[in-house]
Amino acid sequence: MIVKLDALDEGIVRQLVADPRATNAALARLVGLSESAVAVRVNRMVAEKALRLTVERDALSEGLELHVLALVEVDPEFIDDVALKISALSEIDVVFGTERAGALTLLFFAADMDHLNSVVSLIESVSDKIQFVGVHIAGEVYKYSTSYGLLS
Amino acid sequence: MIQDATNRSILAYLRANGRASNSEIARSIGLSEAAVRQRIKRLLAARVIRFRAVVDASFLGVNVTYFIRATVRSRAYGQFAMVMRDLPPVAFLSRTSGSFNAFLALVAPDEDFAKLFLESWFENNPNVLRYEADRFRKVYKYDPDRSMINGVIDDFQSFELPGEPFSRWLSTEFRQVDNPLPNPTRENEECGSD
Repeated sequence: MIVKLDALDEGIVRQLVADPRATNAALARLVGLSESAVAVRVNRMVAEKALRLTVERDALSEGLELHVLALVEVDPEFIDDVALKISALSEIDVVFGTERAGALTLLFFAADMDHLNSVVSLIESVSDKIQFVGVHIAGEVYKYSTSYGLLS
Repeated sequence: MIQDATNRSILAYLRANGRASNSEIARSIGLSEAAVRQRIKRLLAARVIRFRAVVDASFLGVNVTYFIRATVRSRAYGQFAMVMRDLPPVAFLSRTSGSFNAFLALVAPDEDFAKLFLESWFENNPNVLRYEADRFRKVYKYDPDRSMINGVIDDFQSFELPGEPFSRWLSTEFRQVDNPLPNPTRENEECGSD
């Protein structure tokens, strides 16, 4: 989807990236619009999936110490079906498809190795079209840019 | 702290709308506005949560994303990571254990830029023993309500408007660099060899 945002939208987005909880009144002052006009624009961008305003919980604080990258090989013919089934698992945070036929990239968190293995078993159990689940544990994270995502 | 049922209700509400006002949340879960404000304040102070405004990548001129799995020479890893971290098109970089040791996300305005980037920084990099790059095709789920708030070495905060970061990387610094890594392996190998 091509998202078209004008200069005022961009101004609002810049402010929101810096302070996601800035009030509409504060945003209005900063970009020179009325409070209601700001609210309309923010709601429109959210509805168009140009912007997502949310809260994130820290995985470590919840005892989830392993950040896991899983590569799943699937019978290419059934990739969409399998991807949707994996996406339905609450344990899995991110599911991406790539142009390599039959390949899915997953991200999830696990408390420890036992938990990790149980999540892998869970993934494997969603479909007999899954051929292989390869798991890689993220160690040091050098860069994690979350100010932009693939929302649409 | 987060396990508290009231906090869970507050966070569930905020997850759907991170900009919901304290009074709106208070009304919905039957708490006073002051209590909601206090609880959110405590969670933020403890760095157990954070608010995010996530912008769709296409808004920033990103039309092509690649996932790269690379095997980087161990001795050059630190330097590789520092170089990659400072490149705006690298959106994510993590050391991994398994059959490769680096996982990266590369964002690019188009396929040409991505190819050029891969060629220069990976194909011709003596510290990259091998790599595989898959072009991103589709998001099935992107729901990272859990994150690495405290585990990230360098949380990349910069936010740039379309055109700016990529044109800069293509036209000046990027194209003029013939040998992007200043011979790190050679130096390292000399130091490390017996």
